[in-house]
Amino acid sequence: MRKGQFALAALTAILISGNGFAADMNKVLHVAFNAPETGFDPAKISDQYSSSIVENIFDPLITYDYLARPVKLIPNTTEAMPTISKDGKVYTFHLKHGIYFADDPAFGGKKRELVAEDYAYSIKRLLDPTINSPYSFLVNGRFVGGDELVAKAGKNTLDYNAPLEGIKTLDKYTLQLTLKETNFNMTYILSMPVFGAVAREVIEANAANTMAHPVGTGPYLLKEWKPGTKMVLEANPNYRKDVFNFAPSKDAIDAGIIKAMKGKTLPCIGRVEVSIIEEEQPTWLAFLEKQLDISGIPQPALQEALVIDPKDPTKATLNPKYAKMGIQHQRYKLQEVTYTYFNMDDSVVGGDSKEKLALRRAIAMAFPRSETIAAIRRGQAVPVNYMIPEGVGGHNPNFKGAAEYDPAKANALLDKFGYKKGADGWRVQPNGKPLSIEYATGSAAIDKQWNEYWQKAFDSLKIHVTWKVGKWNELDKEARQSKLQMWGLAWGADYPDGDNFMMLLYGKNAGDVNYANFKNAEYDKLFESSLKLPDGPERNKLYDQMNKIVVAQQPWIFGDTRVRNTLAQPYVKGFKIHPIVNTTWRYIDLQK
Amino acid sequence: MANEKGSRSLWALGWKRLRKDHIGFVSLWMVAAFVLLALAGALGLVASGWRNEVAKPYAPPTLLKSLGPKHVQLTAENIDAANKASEQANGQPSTGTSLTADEDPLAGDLAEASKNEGQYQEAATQKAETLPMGADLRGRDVLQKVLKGTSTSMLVGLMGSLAAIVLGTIMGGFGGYFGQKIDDLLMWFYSVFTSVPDMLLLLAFSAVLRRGISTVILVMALTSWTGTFRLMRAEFLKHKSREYVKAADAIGASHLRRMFVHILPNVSYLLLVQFSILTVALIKYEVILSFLGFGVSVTQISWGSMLAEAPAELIQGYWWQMACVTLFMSILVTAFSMLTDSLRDALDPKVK
Repeated sequence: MRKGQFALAALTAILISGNGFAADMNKVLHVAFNAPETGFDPAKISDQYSSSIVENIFDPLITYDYLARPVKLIPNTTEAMPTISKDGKVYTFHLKHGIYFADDPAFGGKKRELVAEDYAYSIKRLLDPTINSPYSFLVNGRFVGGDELVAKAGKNTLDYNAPLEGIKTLDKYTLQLTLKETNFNMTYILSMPVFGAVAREVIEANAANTMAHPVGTGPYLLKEWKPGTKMVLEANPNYRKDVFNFAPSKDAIDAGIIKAMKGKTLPCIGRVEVSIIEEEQPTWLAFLEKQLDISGIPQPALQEALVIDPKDPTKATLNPKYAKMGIQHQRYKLQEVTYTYFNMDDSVVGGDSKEKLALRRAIAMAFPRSETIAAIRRGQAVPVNYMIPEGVGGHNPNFKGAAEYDPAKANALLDKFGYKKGADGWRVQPNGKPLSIEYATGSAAIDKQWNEYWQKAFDSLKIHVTWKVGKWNELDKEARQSKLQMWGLAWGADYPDGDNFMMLLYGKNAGDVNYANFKNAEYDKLFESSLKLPDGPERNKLYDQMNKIVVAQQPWIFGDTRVRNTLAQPYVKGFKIHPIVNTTWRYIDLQK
Repeated sequence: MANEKGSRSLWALGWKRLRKDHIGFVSLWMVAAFVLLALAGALGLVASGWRNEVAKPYAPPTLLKSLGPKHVQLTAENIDAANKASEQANGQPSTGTSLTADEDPLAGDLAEASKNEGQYQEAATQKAETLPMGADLRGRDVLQKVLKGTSTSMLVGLMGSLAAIVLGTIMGGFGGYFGQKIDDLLMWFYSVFTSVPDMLLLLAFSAVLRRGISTVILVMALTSWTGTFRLMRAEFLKHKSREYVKAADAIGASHLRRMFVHILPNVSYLLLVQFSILTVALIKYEVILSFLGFGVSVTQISWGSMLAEAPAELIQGYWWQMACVTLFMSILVTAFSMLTDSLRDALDPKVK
């Protein structure tokens, strides 16, 4: 071990003198996102597009093994995995020495080493009331003394200099986190991109616009940013020596990946150009023209790109036409749930009364989910029946939670609760007021396709529906302010544990990830108890009860879980989809 | 010459000339047919059932079914069958949810409701395998859609340009006739509107207003009045000092009477030409707006919203919806443009 450490230190020394930099600046990777990013301050983002960039610029303490399946955590900027006290409350991290931030004017021309204090600062930022982090629920109430510090700050900036028992540094390179309660997911949580280390100098020097000024220790730095259009990353010349040295998993493709990549200094690719292409057809054409190196198959192209078995549509292989060209195809059932939520604070669709519940249930029963899976997903999705998707700790395959498609019964249910039809044939509320529901949506062609089916559902119930059209990031903002009535969302696992999904309806997360503003005392109590238990039958029992509450109260309409089909050009080497990490840019190479 | 027969007005002369112009005359009939179609569509006489799912998804055109793509279009039944199989494999309940009757607060109500659901059961209809012009994603008849879409697009074009003409004429008339402060104010207004590119202005207006045909018409009118304004202002400026206007003044005609009873008929031939130019332009604008997702809402259909579905269809090889819209649109736009040309020639008083 010691020897290894020494070797690493020596290599780092070479790196600083400029010799360890292996990325080839002529290798440019082209990829596209299908929705705009919001920015690159780890404490301020929560969308997948922004965190895809952030995870390449900042380093969390722990990360995932690239190849291991099921996923496995490995040390990132630490010497080893943290030592955890017997009661599971105290985590101690020893940082590697000689990791440096990318250069920035805030450092005054000097090399700036990553120290334990940076992590302490970065984690405290998530607690800061003035930052109002969308991920603050991950840290609120978790650390000893954290709540008191937040309470003292009130609405002002957190006092970062005040001693905090829960988040402290033992020495320059040692960080100690102390939790109030045992939490079995803390290492998973700390591996999320939002826990990447920022430098306090940089944040303070750019206080007005931290979203546009990311400076980290990761493999890439932000070279160019045209918001909503284009992002260019370049290899960070100060990046530590990092060698591709992963062990193969059981997956067949790993042998080829190791053959291509073993021993290479990472990252290999010097420049990553990310475009925002919201429409599906141009994305697909760009991939076929080799303007994109890695791309998902857009839904309209699925039937052309794949050979799909109508008996079991989740079985599909790449069309021989493309296989012959050497295009690599990887399939993977995402660790996600999609759902449409009702705003439980809303006066029309929200509320606990039975008539409101009946309205929500009727809408859920009228939505033709199988039709959308056939027509929009092209069979590349399975229905959601449990809040936790397959592959994530706590999933229950026996549970069936989705309301059955039965518009006739849904209509009869509305009749029962006094949603009478007015003179014009459309339903009114039981109190006689007109009934019209506003559904939030984007403006791309794919959004219109979904709206067609929602329109059909609402028409079959004789309920008026209107559309609130907006950009994703604008709607997101309004959703958090509880201004939307209904909206469809997807939630992908931040870490492979059910806690990450069950918290989506935890009352205290309303306004954060609990978009539905669902506040159910029993659910909250069960959730709090579930946090104290490790993954296992005891916790699963609680999860089942919580799911039953959700099915009964219907704050969500369960959607589907997509099977992702990702393609890579033949010259992309070392490519493997990771279920949790968004991007694999640092691990791959281009050999044209 | 002209005082020999009082009936030989400019309009009569124009009509005579137009009848001699074969292309113009044919175009006139074609446009008239489209207008009739638009009226019939708006009154619900034609294609009122365009939202019905009458065929299988992407059913091909009857005569050209061999030209469709070869892959199988999945249906909801395929998905249901696959889901049933996986439910059995996983041991999920085959009907209802995993909740017992005690756990679901609506269980009793649902049981009661199922007794009354009969009135809402829809008879299963046989879905057609092919249609004359094919079907779209949801199995709707493309021909019905395009007929209804023609109605919407024509309505938007005609109403939009009518509104723009009225707006432009009134403002141009006031500016040109009264001049001075009023003219300055209106010209300033005009400059503001023309300083912004048309398309941007269209998008800006449609972004703040609700979706729907009336919004599109309003947006069109608000952005397209400028050309007519400029033209009418110049005409009124020219005509107000003509002798016939002075004569009207002498017999005591009011300003408004002089403007709209005396001057307007003398410049109205320009408006007709302007109207047809604008209509074509607005039909195209509507298509662009709907294509970009700013046009009509989901319950309405226009050529633009049909074309917006085309990109996703084309990469799958379903060409018929786009072909059908393109055919209708090119016929109308060409006919209308031809007619405009002929009208301009026919109504130009300098041509004898």
